[in-house]
Amino acid sequence: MTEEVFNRLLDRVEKPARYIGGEYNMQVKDQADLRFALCFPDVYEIGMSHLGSRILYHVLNAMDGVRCERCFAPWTDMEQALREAGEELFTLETRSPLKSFDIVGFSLLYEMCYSNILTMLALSHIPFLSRDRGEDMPLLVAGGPCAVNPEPIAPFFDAVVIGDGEEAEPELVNAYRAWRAAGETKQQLLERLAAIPGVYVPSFYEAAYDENGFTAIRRLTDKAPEKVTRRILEDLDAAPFVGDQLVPHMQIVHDRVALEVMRGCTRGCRFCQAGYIYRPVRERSEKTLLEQAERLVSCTGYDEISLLSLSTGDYSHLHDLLPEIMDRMEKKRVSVALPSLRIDSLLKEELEKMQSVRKAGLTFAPEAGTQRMRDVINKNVTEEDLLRACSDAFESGWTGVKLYFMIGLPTETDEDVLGIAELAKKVSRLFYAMPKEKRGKGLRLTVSVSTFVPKPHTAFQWCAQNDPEEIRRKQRLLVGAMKGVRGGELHYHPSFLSVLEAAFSRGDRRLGDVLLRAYEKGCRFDSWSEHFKPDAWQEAFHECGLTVEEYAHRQRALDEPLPWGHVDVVVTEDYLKREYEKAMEAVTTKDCRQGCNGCFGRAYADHRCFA
Amino acid sequence: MRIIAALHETGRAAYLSHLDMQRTLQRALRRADMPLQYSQGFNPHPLMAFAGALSTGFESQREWFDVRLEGEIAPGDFEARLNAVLPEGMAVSHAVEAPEGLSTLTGHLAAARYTLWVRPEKAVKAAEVNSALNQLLEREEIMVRKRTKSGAMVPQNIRPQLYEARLTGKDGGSFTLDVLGELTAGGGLRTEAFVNVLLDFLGSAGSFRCRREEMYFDEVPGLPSLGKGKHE
Repeated sequence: MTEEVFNRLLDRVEKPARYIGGEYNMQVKDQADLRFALCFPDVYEIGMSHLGSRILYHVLNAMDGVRCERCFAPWTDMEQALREAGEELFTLETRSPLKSFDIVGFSLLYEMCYSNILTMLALSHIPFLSRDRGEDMPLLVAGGPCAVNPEPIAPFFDAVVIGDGEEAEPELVNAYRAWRAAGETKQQLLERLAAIPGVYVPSFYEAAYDENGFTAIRRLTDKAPEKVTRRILEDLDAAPFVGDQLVPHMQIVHDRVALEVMRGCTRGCRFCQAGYIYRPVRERSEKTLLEQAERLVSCTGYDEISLLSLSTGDYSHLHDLLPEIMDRMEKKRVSVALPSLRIDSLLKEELEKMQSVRKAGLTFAPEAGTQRMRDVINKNVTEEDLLRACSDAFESGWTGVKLYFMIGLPTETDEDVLGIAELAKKVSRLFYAMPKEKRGKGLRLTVSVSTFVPKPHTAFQWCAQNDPEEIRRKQRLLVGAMKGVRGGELHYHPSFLSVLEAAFSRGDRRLGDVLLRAYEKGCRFDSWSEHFKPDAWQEAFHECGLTVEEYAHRQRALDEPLPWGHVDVVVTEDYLKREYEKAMEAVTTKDCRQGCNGCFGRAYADHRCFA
Repeated sequence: MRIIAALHETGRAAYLSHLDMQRTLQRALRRADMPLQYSQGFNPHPLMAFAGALSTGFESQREWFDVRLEGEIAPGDFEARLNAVLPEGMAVSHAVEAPEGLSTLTGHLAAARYTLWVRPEKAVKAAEVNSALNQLLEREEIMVRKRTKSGAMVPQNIRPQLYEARLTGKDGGSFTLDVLGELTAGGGLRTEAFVNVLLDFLGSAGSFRCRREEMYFDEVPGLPSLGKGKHE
């Protein structure tokens, strides 16, 4: 693409900085025998915020002879500009078309980005379906959390990496090189890939259906494993970080140094897919983290660092790490952010320290309004925990608190829904009951309520999602109950997007056709309300002889075959069933740190969480 | 101490917004481990400011800025350390220590010189461009429509802000102009408005690219100046 053509494209878009590349720490290797295009099916500012993609960018570029470049979904203005100019989508590093790469890999973070994958392929003149792509086309691979149910996107990809990519991606790249050196056919490449643990080759499996839906998945060759087992990076402390973290010019969603303190979570919240699919918990040492914090801050110039994990408050050495890292960072005028702190792990002293560097809003996630409901989902947090945490925060001068909840959870009653407003009311009263000189002026209490989406490989994978009518009723109930909560503000969303998400997260291969049709009907950036086309999606399902309801709103039987049953995420189905049954009885399961709950079963007994 | 320097931004860097540029320079200053002075208050930020804002899509040879540092650093070291950590398309030069007691650079800003590459859709001859420029410069008023903050379109005379304009090159379908115009804290010559008037005059639609070549200041020793009273 010439400079002139490129400039003309940029002149036509709202945010040209999304497409220019050239950021500090961008990697462009001169010598490369293998080129990998790392693609993210959402806009730059979201894709660049994804830690996993940043790790892979570093891991791949650190390989000898491998050049990894980035490509993001073009916003609709750029898509139109490209189409009208007859130009192909390009990578940021060298403005090369995706077709010119050996391997094109997509990160799958969110089901509602799937339509953008097709946009990116179309703008690259790469056929959508793997069976339509000849030997001259790049190898198309995918990975990321959504890969634990790869079926809806199975028709498009040659291979899908399930689980941690730090080791699996280099193995995949090396298998590709060995295949190329041997001069074999594409089929033989797929056989080489299927032999890598954690790599799923969809074309080696065939799904069967009857009038009631999915019945079975059948392996077509013994070159592929019967079940694909999730890759687990055993030693996180020795694992690569993000290298010299790239520093975007434009503001991105998570615009700071991201320091991953641990992977996995021991809490066992039953709705939480991440809680199951990143087991076991692996922690990094305090020493490694301090070293990396200093290095990342000085190579980026960022003034904020975030201690990232699913539940940073649970990190074993937090009480040693936190004072030390805050002290060191304060000297460099870097503020430390602690996302995903649990209510019961908060400490007043730490809050006060954080306040001294920078004052940000506090976010808590009780997830449900009543203790019964919190027991069902195994969110082992009590009302006292929340009120104590809020009280500490108010005393430390905080006035903005955000509370996250879900509605539509299994076994939920109206009492549980109204419990959300009750809890908000108590938080508000707590604030205004404090003497004026001890608290800030006005409370900003944001109550954010999302719709529960049952996810595969969780204890709720069999559950029906509430239909939109029922969700709307519950939302109206809450709107009424939230009136009169002083300082309170209720946020909720229309629910059809959650329905679609529920369908795709537990979908089977037939949804690939639905996705194709939705794309043809113009579906793009579905998670952006200004682009979401619910009617087009409904039509797409209808034309395929399917309904979104049967995927989203149907309760599955515990013994029913599941479309993702051939993916072994290492947490056993038996364990999930036990968790499901306990949930129905509102019986809680203890945190794994208090003793093993046996989620891996006998086959993986050697996976120890805590040495 | 306070250092004044010029940032060169070309190529991809042209597509950064003013805010992006501020963020990028601040981070570079931190990477260079400059002893920055910070503002007081809730969200302390480095005391660094550009003299003017550059439109997204424009290149610049010299965007002047100033930054306050704790302690002393030789301007040459300042340049070298910063240049080692700037992204592609950006470089600093002309660093000097700011004179004692200087107020904001923006307050002294007076004018700027631009190179404009204009590509009209229909073919035009150099003589036509020269004739159009002469006629425009002879006028007392060049009226354009300007969008106000509230979105309304109001008439504006841009002639007082246009100091010089001459044709410096002609290459195939495009021609090059050298333009000097007012640039102050309150505004100045909008090159886009000027190009549109010129294209109208030539009876063609078209597009253009722009590079700021220099910024001129009043009464700042060591910084480029047009000389007193030249364009008043």
